Amino acid sequence: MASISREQIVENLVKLLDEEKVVTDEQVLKDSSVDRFRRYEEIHGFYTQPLPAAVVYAGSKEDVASILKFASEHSINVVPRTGDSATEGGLETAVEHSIVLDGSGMNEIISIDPYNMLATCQCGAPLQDLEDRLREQGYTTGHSPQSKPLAQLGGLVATRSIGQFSTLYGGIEDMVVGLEAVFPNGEITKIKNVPRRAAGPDIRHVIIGNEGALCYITEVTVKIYKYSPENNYLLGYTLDNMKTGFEILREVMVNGYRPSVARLYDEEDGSQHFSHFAEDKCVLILMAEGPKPLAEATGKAMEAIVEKYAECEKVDHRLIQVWFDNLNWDVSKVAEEREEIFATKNISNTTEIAATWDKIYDIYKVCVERIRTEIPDITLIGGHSSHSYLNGTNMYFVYFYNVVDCSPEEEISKYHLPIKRIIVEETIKAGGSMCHHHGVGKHRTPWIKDEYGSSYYILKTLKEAFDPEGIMNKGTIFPGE
Amino acid sequence: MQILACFKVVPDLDQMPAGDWLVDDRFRVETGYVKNMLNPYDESALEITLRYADQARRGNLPLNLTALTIGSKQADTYLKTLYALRYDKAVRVASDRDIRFLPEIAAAVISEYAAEKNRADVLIMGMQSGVGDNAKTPLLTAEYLNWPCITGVVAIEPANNGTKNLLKVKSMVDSGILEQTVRPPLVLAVSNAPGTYLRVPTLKDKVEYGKKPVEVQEMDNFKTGLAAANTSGGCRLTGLKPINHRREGLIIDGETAAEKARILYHSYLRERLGKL
Amino acid sequence: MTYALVLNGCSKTYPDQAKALTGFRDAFLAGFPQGKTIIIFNEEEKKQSLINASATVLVELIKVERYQPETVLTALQNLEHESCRDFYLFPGDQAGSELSVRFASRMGGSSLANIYSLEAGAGSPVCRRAAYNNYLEAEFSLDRKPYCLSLQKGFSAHTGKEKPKPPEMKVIEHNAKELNSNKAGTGINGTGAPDDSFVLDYKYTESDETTNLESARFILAAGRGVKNRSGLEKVEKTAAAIGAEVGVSRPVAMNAWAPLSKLIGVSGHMTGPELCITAGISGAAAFYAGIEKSACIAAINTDPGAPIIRSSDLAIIDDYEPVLEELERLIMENKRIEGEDR
Ligand SMILES: Cc1cc2nc3c(=O)[nH]c(=O)nc-3n(C[C@H](O)[C@H](O)[C@H](O)COP(=O)(O)OP(=O)(O)OC[C@H]3O[C@@H](n4cnc5c(N)ncnc54)[C@H](O)[C@@H]3O)c2cc1C
Ligand SMILES: Cc1cc2nc3c(=O)[nH]c(=O)nc-3n(C[C@H](O)[C@H](O)[C@H](O)COP(=O)(O)OP(=O)(O)OC[C@H]3O[C@@H](n4cnc5c(N)ncnc54)[C@H](O)[C@@H]3O)c2cc1C
Repeated sequence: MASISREQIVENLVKLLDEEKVVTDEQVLKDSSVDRFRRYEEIHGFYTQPLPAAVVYAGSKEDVASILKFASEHSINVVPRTGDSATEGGLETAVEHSIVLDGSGMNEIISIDPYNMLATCQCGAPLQDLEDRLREQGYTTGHSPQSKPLAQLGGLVATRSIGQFSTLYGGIEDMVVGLEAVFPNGEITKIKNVPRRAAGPDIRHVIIGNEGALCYITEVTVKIYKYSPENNYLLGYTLDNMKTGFEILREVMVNGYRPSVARLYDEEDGSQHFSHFAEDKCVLILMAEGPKPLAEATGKAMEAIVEKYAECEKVDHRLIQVWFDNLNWDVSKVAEEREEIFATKNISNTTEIAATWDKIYDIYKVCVERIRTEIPDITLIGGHSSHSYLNGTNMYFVYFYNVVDCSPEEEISKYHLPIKRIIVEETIKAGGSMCHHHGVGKHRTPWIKDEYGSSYYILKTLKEAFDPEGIMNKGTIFPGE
Repeated sequence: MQILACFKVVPDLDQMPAGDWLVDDRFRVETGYVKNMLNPYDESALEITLRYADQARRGNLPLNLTALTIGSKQADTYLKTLYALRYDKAVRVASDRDIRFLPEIAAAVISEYAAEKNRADVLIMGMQSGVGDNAKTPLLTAEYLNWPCITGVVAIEPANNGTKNLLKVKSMVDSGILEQTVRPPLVLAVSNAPGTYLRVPTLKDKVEYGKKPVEVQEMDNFKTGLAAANTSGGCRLTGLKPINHRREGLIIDGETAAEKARILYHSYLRERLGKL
Repeated sequence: MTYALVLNGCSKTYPDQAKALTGFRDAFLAGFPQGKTIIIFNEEEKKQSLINASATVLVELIKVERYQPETVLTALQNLEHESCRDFYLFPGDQAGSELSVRFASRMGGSSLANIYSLEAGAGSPVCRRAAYNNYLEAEFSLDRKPYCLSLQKGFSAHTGKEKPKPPEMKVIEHNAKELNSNKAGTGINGTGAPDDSFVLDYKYTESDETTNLESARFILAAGRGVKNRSGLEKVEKTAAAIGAEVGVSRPVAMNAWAPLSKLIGVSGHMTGPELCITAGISGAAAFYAGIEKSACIAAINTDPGAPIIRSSDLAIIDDYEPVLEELERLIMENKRIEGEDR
């Protein structure tokens, strides 16, 4: 699509920024052509995507603006990137001569304002850094995705991410107060920080979850909360049936309780985490937090709810605590996983969906059943619900398979996509959402119109309006040509 | 070839919170809160055995694999996995005796099982496991059986195209690699064997092979072995306490990584390095 | 109380073994007069230097064709079974640890591997070693002679005073073949112990990887935080430039980003440099044991909660890459300036 050559693109980029901010090292380009979705082929040294023309490290919103303007003028595809932990192909450079625009250098924590309970960061600030800084001062963002040690604020907002304490603090969309973003024409826009507004539609939601397909997020302001882990009220149970587990989650939610953690593992997924105390069992985890009286009251009330279900057996909360303390993934874990995949040819992937209470169990059941019978070489298929709402909950499907009798590039078409298809189609058929928190990326786009139905008109119009040249992360959210 | 692979399920001690190392008056430590795992050396031994099996099956050589562990029911998941990975038999010797520091008992049970119940040609297991850290079980097993033993094993394969039941064994010795063609019976001990993650069975294999019941044997039935073990050993545990690894842990602060490095260098390292 | 030190003279590590055993003897068996040294060896030319390194007046040599555990064990057993000593001390490597356990079993004694202390008084001797993956220290009381002990890997004792060399050595020579032809060894079951005839052929390939980790004064240790082989290669370059020896944690060696010979920790090298910088290492006890004797430990880790932080003297909470880059620059600059000064 680019109207100028690869060399000209690089030349111009160097003119726009410093030479050292423009990287064309082949290995860097290769690594930047994919994300976690294609790690199987990457681990085996196969790169199937067009290599980007350059990776550009932006140092300021002005850098971002000048690059986007330049890209618009010459129809060059731009793939925004921050923490590089994307899982759904959002970082794949799907077209020739793309520019990967990396914001990880814009990593300043600009201000922490405990009076108004706000924290403002540049897009490349690692969430872990922000959270560590806040906790030193007795605060927290309340955001704790498993990728906290990897992900950065720009990407976290761009994917509509969610964390382990979401049932109390919400997803990132509930946390963002104001934002700054740059649009493809170079327009730098800022949404101010106010407690609420009713001045027309909430335009923050044009930016949150755009996955780099509409604009480039340069700055984020999030809420902060008092951090009082000493009040945490942690509960763990084993049980026999997911159905019971969903019932309990529902009962907790509809009765107005707000646990921070509400997680339900089936026995397959749970076997990876809890085999030392819950063999062949489902596991339910609830936690209340916040001010002591509130945490305690919520905790006790949830305990009372669970007690009514005879099949639930309480386990020592220390079992859950130790597990929780080791749950997050840092680069060392990612590195180890790569070695294991290479050595064993066994890989895991995930797909996360959401649905109302009346649908969720059936979706869970049919998907697990179909994957187990229809997909070859599966070594584990299970899942957990980790984020509950008044109206329903999510399901995070986890599946492992051995890659056999095919080349590394065929892994996706032989295994991963057929599995995703089952989950997405069953979910949409039942009226759920096919993406709960990883974003659409590039591999769920075939179903985006089904996901939206008649409201696709609104989505499509956003793209046409804000990215008329179609330079923003081609193939992400919106299907490529 | 009849191979008996022995393994132990251990807690992942690196997950233990620093303050949880509490020893009671019977020298027990509560490690039940952390995840368990295959002892890494045993994991290597199990995978090394499967790699041998791949070759043996390709050459149509007679082969029988048994996996054995001494321990609680928690080990059954691992035994079932081994069934699914095509171990022919999975055995658990059940006991509630505290044998953390009594490798003589483990060795006695294993050797009796190998000699009388299993008629194994080759025994393979990890050199050491991180609770007792005794580093004695395979060696004592060899002694009890009067079999030779090779330590530091990293790979085994059929020798001479599998004729005469011979084995090629690759092992690490202090400054090199030893490759030997050997005639069983013998005991193989595995420690660091790079690139030996245990493979993962498919659900299909789990359904097809992994449903066989685990053979459970009571430890009390291993009479001769235990009697023999009781006459050896001779070490009694008389104390157990945490090792203090604490140092000052002075954290160097700075705006950037480079600034921290400069402070570290100028304030602390330059002088030290000058003296080297 | 009597003791014997058993050394493997076939191995390149002989000098280290001799030093460690001598140090241990001086630290814990100083009051015992009648010690002897048993040296297994295979090369005549090296005989004298082996004898010279011995810490006791009485030296017994056992000549073997090659170091083969079954042969060595039976020879030892045949040499000792008539006049058994109270203590047998073995070096802390794989071979020493193996001999201590198997020899004790044959002699009906008690064994412990990897010990680092011994109290041998009137009653039962008491030994200490690590347990629970080096998180705990276990203490054992030994009940049956002979007490066959192998040292902790890399054991070294600073007793302060250098013992004067014994005035003259008394050397007795044996040959394993002769020792073993008289009578076969006997196991506890009363049947014959195996000899080396189970080995039909063998090939030994000396590794060309060398490390001086044990004697290094400056170590740069890298862990899983370096992410992959090329990450490690960069660390190796930095180390070469700044004059540090590279060591790695177990996952790095297991993933073959570095050879096993670079491994630090209970299953690798036990080091004691003046300065050890760790990069991307969490500080599990099994690793830490290998750097515990460092005069100074400086840790670089992104996670302030990593155990290594509490176990280091100095710590930087940050990405190791820019920190190492800057350190390299500073050290190189300093070297240049010093070079110009001269
Ligand atoms: C081990 C692991 C665990 C995970 N756990 C969770 C979890 O618990 N919850 C969860 O929600 N997600 C999780 N994820 C997914 C991932 O971490 C999140 O999607 C995260 O929000 C991505 O942030 P990032 O900074 O790494 O973004 P990147 O990976 O760099 O980018 C993600 C997407 O956002 C776009 N983007 C990035 N920066 C910008 C920007 N400045 N402006 C506009 N668009 C941008 C990219 O183009 C891409 O489409 C996990 C991932 C991994 C690998
Ligand atoms: C019987 C037995 C024997 C063993 N023997 C040994 C042994 O001899 N030696 C040994 O090492 N281990 C040994 N182990 C393993 C040991 O228990 C640990 O698993 C191992 O030491 C962990 O290695 P690591 O610190 O490199 O990895 P991890 O524990 O994964 O730590 C990686 C660290 O890197 C940090 N990090 C990540 N990215 C960066 C970055 N960019 N910059 C800075 N820091 C970063 C992370 O925060 C983390 O703390 C043994 C285990 C057993 C059971």
